[in-house]
Amino acid sequence: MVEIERNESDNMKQPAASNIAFTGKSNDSIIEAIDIYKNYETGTLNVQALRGVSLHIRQGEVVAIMGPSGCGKTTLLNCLSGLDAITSGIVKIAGQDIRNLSDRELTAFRASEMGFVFQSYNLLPVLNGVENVELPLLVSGVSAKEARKRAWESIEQVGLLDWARHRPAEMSGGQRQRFTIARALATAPSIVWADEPTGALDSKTSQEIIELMLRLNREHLLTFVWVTHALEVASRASRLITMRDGHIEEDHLIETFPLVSPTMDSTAIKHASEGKQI
Amino acid sequence: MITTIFAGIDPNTLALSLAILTGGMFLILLSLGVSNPILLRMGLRNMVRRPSQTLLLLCGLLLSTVVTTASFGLSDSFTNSALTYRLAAMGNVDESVSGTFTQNQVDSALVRIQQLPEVQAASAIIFYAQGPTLTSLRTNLSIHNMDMYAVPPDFDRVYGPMTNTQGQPVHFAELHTNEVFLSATAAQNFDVRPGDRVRIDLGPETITSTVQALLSNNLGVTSGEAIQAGDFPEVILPLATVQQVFQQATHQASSPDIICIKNNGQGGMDDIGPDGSRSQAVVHFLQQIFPGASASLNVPHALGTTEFDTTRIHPLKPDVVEEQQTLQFSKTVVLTSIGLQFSWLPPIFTYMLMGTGMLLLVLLIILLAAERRAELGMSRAIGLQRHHLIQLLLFEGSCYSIIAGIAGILTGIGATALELTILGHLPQLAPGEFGSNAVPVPVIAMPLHVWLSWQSMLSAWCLSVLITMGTLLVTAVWISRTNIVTAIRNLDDPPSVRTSLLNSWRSLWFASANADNVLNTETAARRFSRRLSAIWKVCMGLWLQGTLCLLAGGTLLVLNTIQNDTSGEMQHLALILFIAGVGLAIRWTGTFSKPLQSLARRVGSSFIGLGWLIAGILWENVFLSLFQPVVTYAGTPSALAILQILQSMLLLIVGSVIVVITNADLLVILLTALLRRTRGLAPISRTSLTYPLTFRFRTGVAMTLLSLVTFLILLLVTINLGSIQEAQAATNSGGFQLEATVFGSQLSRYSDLSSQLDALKTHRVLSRDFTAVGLLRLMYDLPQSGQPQPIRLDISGHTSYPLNSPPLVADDSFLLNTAMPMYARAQGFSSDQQVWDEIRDHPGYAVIQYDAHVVGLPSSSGFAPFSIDIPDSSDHSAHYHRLTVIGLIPASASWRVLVSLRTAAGIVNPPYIPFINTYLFHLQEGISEAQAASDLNALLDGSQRGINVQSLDHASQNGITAVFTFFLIGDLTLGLLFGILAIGVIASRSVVERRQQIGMLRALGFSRTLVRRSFLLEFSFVILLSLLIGTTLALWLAYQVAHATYQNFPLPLWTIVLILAGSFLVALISTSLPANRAARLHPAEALRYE
Repeated sequence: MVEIERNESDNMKQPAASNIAFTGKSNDSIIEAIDIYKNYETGTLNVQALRGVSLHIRQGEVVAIMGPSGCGKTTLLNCLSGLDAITSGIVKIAGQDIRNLSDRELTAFRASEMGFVFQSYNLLPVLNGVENVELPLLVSGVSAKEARKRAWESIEQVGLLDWARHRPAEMSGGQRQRFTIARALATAPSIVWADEPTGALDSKTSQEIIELMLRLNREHLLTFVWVTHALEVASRASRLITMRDGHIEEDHLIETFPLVSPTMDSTAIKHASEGKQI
Repeated sequence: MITTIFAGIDPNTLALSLAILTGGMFLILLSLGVSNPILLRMGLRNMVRRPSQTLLLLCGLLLSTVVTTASFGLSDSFTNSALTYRLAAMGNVDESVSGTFTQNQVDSALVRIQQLPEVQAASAIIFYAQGPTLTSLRTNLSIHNMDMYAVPPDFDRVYGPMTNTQGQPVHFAELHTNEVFLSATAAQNFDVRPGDRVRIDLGPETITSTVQALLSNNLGVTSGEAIQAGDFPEVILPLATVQQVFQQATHQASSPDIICIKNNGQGGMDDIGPDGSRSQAVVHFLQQIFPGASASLNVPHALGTTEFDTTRIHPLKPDVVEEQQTLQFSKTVVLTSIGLQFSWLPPIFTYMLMGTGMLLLVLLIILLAAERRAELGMSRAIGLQRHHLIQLLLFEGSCYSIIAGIAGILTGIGATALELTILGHLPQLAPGEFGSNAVPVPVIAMPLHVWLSWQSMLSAWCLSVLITMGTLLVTAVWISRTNIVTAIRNLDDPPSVRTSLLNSWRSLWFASANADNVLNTETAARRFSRRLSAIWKVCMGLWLQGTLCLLAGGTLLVLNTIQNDTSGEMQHLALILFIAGVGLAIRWTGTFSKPLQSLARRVGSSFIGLGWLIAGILWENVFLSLFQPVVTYAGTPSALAILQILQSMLLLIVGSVIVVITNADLLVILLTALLRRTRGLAPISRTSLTYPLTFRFRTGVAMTLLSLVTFLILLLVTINLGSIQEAQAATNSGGFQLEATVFGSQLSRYSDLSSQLDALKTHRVLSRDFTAVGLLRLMYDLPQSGQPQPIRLDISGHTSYPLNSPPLVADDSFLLNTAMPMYARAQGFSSDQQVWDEIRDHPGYAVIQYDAHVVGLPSSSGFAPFSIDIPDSSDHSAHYHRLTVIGLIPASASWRVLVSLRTAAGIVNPPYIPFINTYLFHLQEGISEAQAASDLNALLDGSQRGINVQSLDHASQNGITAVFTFFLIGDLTLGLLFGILAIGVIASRSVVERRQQIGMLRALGFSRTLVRRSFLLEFSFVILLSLLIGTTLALWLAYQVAHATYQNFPLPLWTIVLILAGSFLVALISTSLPANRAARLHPAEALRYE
């Protein structure tokens, strides 16, 4: 058993002992991060972006990571997904210690086990919708016919069959984000990472995108990890992790969560979810 | 030219090998594309995303292909022009036999040959090489040493159709007694028209004829004459006339010496039959008729005129037609340094341009990658492997290379045509315009036309594609290593973390350990990649410490000792590496102390730059030797010599750029302080000047390109225009305009010649034409073989001053009237004339030529007079006589040692030999050279007596210098385009990378004009620094060359100003496009951009 990052906050109850990730069911964990550190050297400064973060995420969870700018939430997502290398610690995804993988193996692993949704859509502008969705399948060695079939299925899931032949430049922001989600789904990944998935969308479209992800979570038991600033997004997750200064400040399970003002701080969240900590 | 790399490789083999390589590469790419069609689609679609970027890229690639194609094209065009010219000279003659025959032998051979079924016609002619002198009775001008052909009326059947210069048909059968044809070369070099009466001096007899026609080509029906066609003017007479003249003069029958044969067929190459079988049959038959005759094209024997001492069979087609070895150096002319430059610089420039093309390609691809950075990062995040990214770039690049290759071939043909047009303006040098520093250069005597064989086209295209794809592959591998996270978020790349050498070494052998010091388990692939990365880090660590360079330098020195290499090349390379090693070590010491880090970097980098610069200056720079009239390199440029020259050229430029770019921040501080006081520039002064130094490598590469090209252009212009100016200032001729050479044999043969010359010298005759007549003679005879005895010196250990001919003895008139400037005068002499007067009036003095190879000779005026010992004969047993040197003449002069008659009288008796007497003439004001030459010719009966009167005007040589300089600068203009494109590319990249910053500045209140001005100021700084480096180096080196060669440093100021201003403006225009793009950015859009 690994100890979780100790919460120093006085007005918070210590969640470590009852955290869902640390209840002895580590075998269910799809993501297992143990004491990870990430340092950046920027010229003469050495910045510790992550300071001994430990975390377990189970299959089917929708985890939202929140925190002020510069607290390390995107870095955590990048390190957990293997996009960025950690300085020390252990990261296991589906039981696989990703530090022991070569770049090639890690890339292949990402292609088959992970999906990504980012704020700025990141669809390839030279490919149309369906081609964007089938791309990770094709580079993973799936046959063209099978890839196309699965891409159509994914696009159907996000409800954009009519737009599949269009290039990203012809789509609205919401449509592009749906295609990004379809692309993330196409490989039937274990987990989908989403960094500010609604950051560039209006509130109505944001709601639709969140609903879409939650539906996919319910229907396919797909694990989502969202990094977000938006409280209305975070409140729809099943678990909320707040970060500060490179370590986890709080880790909560959320069952119901009223929509509150985006200006609401973490204390408000805590109060709103009081009694729901595990 | 690039063809020098492939010298000796059959064009078919070369083209097919390159085609197989290229085809193989495309097959691999195609199979990868088929297995991953989506990547292929992406690559293809990426091409049309940004039309302006694509156009820029295609332009860069196209330029590279143009350089390669033009290189092949020039070589092919020379070859094909020569082939066409030779074919025209041969007419329909397919084989010939030369030798000394009797008329009976000729008649019998003709009968037997014509019976051969393969033969259509045969005829016999007389050929008399370099014999007759022809004088026009209209102009009184003569041509000496003409080739003469005496042809029978039936020669038309063998030679075939022929035309005059107007294109009208001409027939040998219509050449009547007392009529002549003149060849194309004669018509070009001689003021003659059809109908002119001419006198032909055939040696024993003189005949007078009328010019019936000027032919459109020359004749060449033996291997020697056909290959060398165009060298000598030809006169064609009826056979009967010539035979009659010889009969009268010698009372012996004169028989033909060449039998010409035309095979059955349509003429031209058709006559030799399939695979040359018909020609082979004829040659075989000729060998039976003339047993023992050689029938092979023995190249050394084939050159020059045909020898008639033995019987020789000439299988003209295809052997002689396709003989290519002699094309490049078809004529030896004397020039100053331009001959060397023309032989050596085009291949060097070709390599350099290809290198810069590759560098530009790298910059362009990185620009593309910078624009698509987020996409590349995202692609990697969703599962594209590095090799997928490489494939993606290769698919896209292969399309660019195919298109640019095809367009480049077409443009390259145009460039070849342009080059040939320039070369077509080369003035023809008349035979005799040779001097002591003879350098072989290809002076093209034939009309040139553009030609590019399919093999060359294929080779040029394949080479361009392969070079592009190779460069692209290296760049793509580098791009594929991009950091995924920073790419997706479009952040600056994190500074690379330097692992200590010990840790790198450790990770080569051991996996990383966890917190409990237990080694992590890893997959085999992970182990492999860890070790690969560790090896790279160890190498980089050693490199950054300087150890690698020092080791490599040491190894080279050891190898040099083992191989006993005396060229010094390895020592030079070792020293370059040592300098780099020490500089890197100094930089590395800064890593131990953060406060000293930047100082150590500055000192280390400056040490490398200055070290290389000083080494490049101090060593005998082989590159500079191309600009001096001293033959360092002769013959065909070799790859090793080209590398040496490239190294000596680049060392100077790279050294300077490193020094400047390392210390430019100090300049920036100064400029910023100045610009802050300038209204309108104050807000942008700091940012504009600092940005280029933020990316020093990128800026350094662009600066190197631009300064290298500026350097070369200015060096060429300054030195060559300087050389022209010097020639015009009569450095070589000392101010005399005409020269007449009279041989001792002529003096003894024509008894009145001496008195005529005396009358000339004393102004008793032709005083209306000449103000002064000087006379130069040899002090003693030339040696039977080898060089004359050298002069003995005693300066700085140099004891010998070699001579190429005995010392010259000048008469008083020469010494009184010469205007030859001194390179250096001894102390006590305030003018050149004082030195000449001292030489004339007092025995015991001499002037010698400055020779850069004789170390220790004074190089500036005011030197202490020094002693030399002059031999009194060319024999080994010569006695030596001591003289004092009081002046040094420039290295461009054509003689080595000069003394007065009085001084010579103290050494030998008589003080000169009459073997060669060179009379030099100063013209009266208002008298033309032609008039004076004509009068002189008439007085001395020069045509009759074979006295050659020459103009000392260097117009034709200067013309060649000017044309070659123009040609070379044409090449460099392409380089300038590369440099300017490079600046444009880094400007574009700056805009791409700094969109958000631009948005922020706009949000802060910067106007569009200020943003544009900021970019223009930034790149003006880079361009000006580059031009400054190139100009300073070029002018400094040009000054060194001028100082070693001429009296003055004639600086073509306005030309230089024009070149610099033009380069600056064009370069600035290339940056104004990206600057405008930056200015047009909408602030909100730019701030949102990721």
